[in-house]
Amino acid sequence: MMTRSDIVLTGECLDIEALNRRFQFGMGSGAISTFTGLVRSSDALTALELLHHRVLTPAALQRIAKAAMNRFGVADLLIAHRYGRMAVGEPIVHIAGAAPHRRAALDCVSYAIDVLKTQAPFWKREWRGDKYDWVEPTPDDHEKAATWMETGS
Amino acid sequence: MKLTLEFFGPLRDRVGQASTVLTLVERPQSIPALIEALVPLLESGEALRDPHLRVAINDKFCSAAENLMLHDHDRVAFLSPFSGG
Repeated sequence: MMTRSDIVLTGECLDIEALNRRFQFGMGSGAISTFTGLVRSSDALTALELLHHRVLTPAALQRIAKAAMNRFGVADLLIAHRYGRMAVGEPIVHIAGAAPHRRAALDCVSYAIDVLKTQAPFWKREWRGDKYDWVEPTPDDHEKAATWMETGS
Repeated sequence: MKLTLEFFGPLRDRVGQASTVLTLVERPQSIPALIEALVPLLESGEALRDPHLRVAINDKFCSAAENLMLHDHDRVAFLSPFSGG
C-alpha cells in the first residue's frame, strides 16, 4: 500500500478548503476524517500566538504522522499547523486522514491531534491587549495523549 | 568550551532571554550535570531544574540518562512543555 504524509507548517492563515483540495488519497480509501482546531473566544482574548522550533517542530509532526499511519493502517494523512499570531476564529490546526474504513480514519485523526498537543514543540501565548499569558499543557492534555500510549489501540 | 543556549516557551521569560552564549571550563557528561553547571551562570538559572523541560543538542532531543559528548559551539535548546493544536 502506498502511503503519503503531507506536513504543512506555515505562518499564513490556514485555508481549510484549499487544504482539503490538496489532500491526496488513494482509490482504496473508503473514509476520510478531518479535524480543525480554531482559536476560541475567551475572556477578552485579542490574539493567540503559536511559537515553534524551526527544526524540531516539522520533524515531530512528521514523526507523529508516520506513527498514526502505521498504527491505524492509514494510507494518507495531512497535518497542517499554523504558527504566529492568530485572531479569534482562525484555524490553528487541520488534520485529514483517509483509510479503507471509518474507524481507522476517525481514530487516526483523533490520535494525531491528541499526541500533537503534548509531543510537538509548540508554545502558546494568549494576548489580551499588550499583555500575554503562556498556555501550559493541561493535565487533560497529558491524559489524552497517555491514553493512546496505554491502550496501544 | 563555548555553548549557545536557547530557551523556548515560558522558560524564555523565566530566564529572561531567548538565547545566550556561555563558556564552561568542565565538559559535563550528562544533561543533569550540564544543568547544574549552568544554574549558577544564569540569572534565574534555577528555572533549568524544572523536571518537565526537554533538552535538544544541535536540534536532536537528548534524554537525562544518556552520556553527553558536548563540543565547542554546540547549540543546547531547553524547551518548556509543549502546547500545540
